[in-house]
Formats: sequence, structure tokens, C-alpha cells
Amino acid sequence: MNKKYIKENKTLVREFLGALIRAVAQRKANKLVKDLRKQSPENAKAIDDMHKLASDIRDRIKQIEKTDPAKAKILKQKLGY
Amino acid sequence: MAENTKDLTEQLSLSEQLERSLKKQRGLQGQINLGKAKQVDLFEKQIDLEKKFRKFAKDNAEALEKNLGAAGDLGDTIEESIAGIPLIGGILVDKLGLKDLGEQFQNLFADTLKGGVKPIGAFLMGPAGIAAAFAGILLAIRAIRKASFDLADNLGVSRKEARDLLPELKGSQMAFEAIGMDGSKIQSTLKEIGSEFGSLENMTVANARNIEMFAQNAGVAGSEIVKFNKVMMDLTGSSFDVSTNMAKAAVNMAKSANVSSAKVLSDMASSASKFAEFSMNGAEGFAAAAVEAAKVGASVEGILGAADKLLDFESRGCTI
Repeated sequence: MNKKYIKENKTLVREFLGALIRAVAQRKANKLVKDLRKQSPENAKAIDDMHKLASDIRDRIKQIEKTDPAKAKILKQKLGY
Repeated sequence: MAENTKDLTEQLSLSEQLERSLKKQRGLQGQINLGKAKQVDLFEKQIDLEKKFRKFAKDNAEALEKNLGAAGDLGDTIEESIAGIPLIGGILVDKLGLKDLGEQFQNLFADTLKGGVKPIGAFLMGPAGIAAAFAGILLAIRAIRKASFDLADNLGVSRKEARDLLPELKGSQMAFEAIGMDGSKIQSTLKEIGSEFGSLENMTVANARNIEMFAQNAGVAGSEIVKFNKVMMDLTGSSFDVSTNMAKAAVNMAKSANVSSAKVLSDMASSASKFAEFSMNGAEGFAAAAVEAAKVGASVEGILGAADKLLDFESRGCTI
């Protein structure tokens, strides 16, 4: 029950509120992407293709992370993940 | 006209996203060309992804413009609402990482479309996320309760009074810190007001804040001004604010005369009994006397004491 305890909680509340606001936006973004997907089969395919590429990149970075975490970190920064 | 402006803003949002994508592609291609990229296949996949995104954006320009505009508006509205909270709004925007939230939301939308974002919403959707959210709220409540206990203990007031003072106090402290001033001193000044005046009538955060703002700018201790105010209020029957203004006037006079403002204030507070001798000109006359005394390295009491002794000497001389 000291100042450190209060400070730790402050950080937690701050992170929680920041994450909450972003979660609202993320849910909205997910819904919009879902709506775009429903608009046409071409759209659905294009979105699936993009997600497949993103998923492949993420998986590869995860593999690299096991053997070389520093390199994985740089790759994440450069590729924007 | 307004509709046209909105359309233009939305088109600008899409153009910005396309430019962002192109810039990323150029950067990655540059790394490949310079031979800096060892995982060329990864870089090529990301370039391919950016190309697909731009094609998709051109095919669905209207829908994307609308959605990017809506995402930007949502972010701007949240940022403006939080920034509008008195005193702490600006700090909250910085601390919660909400600066340029409209742009952040637009990027989030584009990245979600590309599948490049790990969903943040998942944090709050599962049972573990809900439990974490509740734990966060409970911890926040406990932290606030603990802070009000600590404040009550420090100020010597009841917990209820401390709880009422806490939000404004914390807000003022954060506002002080934001402009590079020492926010922690507001609490010590508040305590000083309580111990100097006894009653809680003047023990308000607004009074402590005003004093500290002035004290830190003038380079004097807040406690000196509190003591000064107490003396002036007792002597002249003036209000707390009026006494603070008297202190400000005295400090300004001290500064103009190039003498220590702290010395002038403490001299005035400690020579309160001599105030009546300068009452022709009120507090200003008293401050002028204190400033003149400080100029020669003396105090009001010291100078009056010397004058009294001189008179005493003359009367003795007459009687001999």
C-alpha cells in the first residue's frame, strides 16, 4: 500500500482505457470489413487474398522469432506488424 | 457547400491511405534493391499485399471514402470530447495515446482491411478479457479509495472531505505537471492552509492552486503566502482572494525594488502588529515600508525598534 502500488494501478487504468477506446474502433473496423466482403464475391476474394498474405507473413515472423527474436522484432517494425 | 467539403475530406482520407501504402511499398522495395532485406520473400509478400490493397481501394473508392471518413469522424469526436474535459483533458489525450485519433482510426480501418492488425477487440470479448476489465475497474476503485485515505491522513481531514478534494486536487496537479510546474506542492499548500487557518472554509483546492501558481512563478514559498494571508485577513478583515492580491502587490513591489520578495513577505507577516502604523496607505504602505527595510537589509520591526529607542534616548536626554 505505497505510492508504487498506486502508480502501478494508474498505468493499468491508463492502458485499459486506451485499449477500450481502440477496441471500440476495432469492432467498428471489423464490421465495416465484413460489410465490404458481403458486397460482392470479388470483394470477398480480394479481402481473403490480403488476409492470407498477412497471415503468411505473420506465421513466418513467428517462426523467425523462435530462433532469432531480435531479427523478428526488426521485421515486425519494417513490415508493420 | 458543407457537403462538398465533407466529400473532399473523405477523398483526402482515401488519398492519404493510398499514399501511405505506396510509401510503404517504396520503402520495402528500396530495402530489397539495396540488398538490406535478407527475408526477401517476406518483403515481396508485403509489397504484393500493398498492391492488392490499392487495387481494392480503387475498385471500392466510394465505399472506402465513406468508411474512412466515418472512422476519422469517430476518432476526432472521441479526442475532442476527452480534450474538452476541464484542466486534465489535454493530459488525458496524451497519456491515453489519443492524439490524432481520427487518423489513428483511419489507419486501423485500412490495416484491418489488409488483415495486418491483430484484433484489439479480442482483449475485451473473451471471458478472460471481461475478468481483466473487472479486475482493472476494481483495482482503480481501490486505488482511488487508498488515495483518499492517504490524503485524509496527510491533510488531517475526514475521509469524506478528502474524497471531495481529491478529484480537483489530482486534476490541478496534473495540469501543473503538464506546464512544467511542481504539482505536488499544491497538496502541501492545502495542508498549510488547513493548519494555519484551522477551519476548512478557506481550505479549497482553488485557493491552494492560486497560491502555488503565484508562489512558483514569483519564486517564493507557498507557506509564506499562506502565513501572509492569515495575518492580512485577521488584520484587515479582507477575504482570502484579496489577501492573495495584497501578497502579489507586495511581491511586485519587491521585484521592482530588486529586493527578496520572500524576505518582504515574511517581514510583513511577522511585523503584523506594526501594520496600524502604516494604515494611512493600507497594505500598500506597509509593503512599501517592508521593501524599504529590505533594501537596507533590515526588517520593519527592526527599523521601528531602532526609531523607538532613538525617541527613548531623546526623552531621556530631556529629563536629564
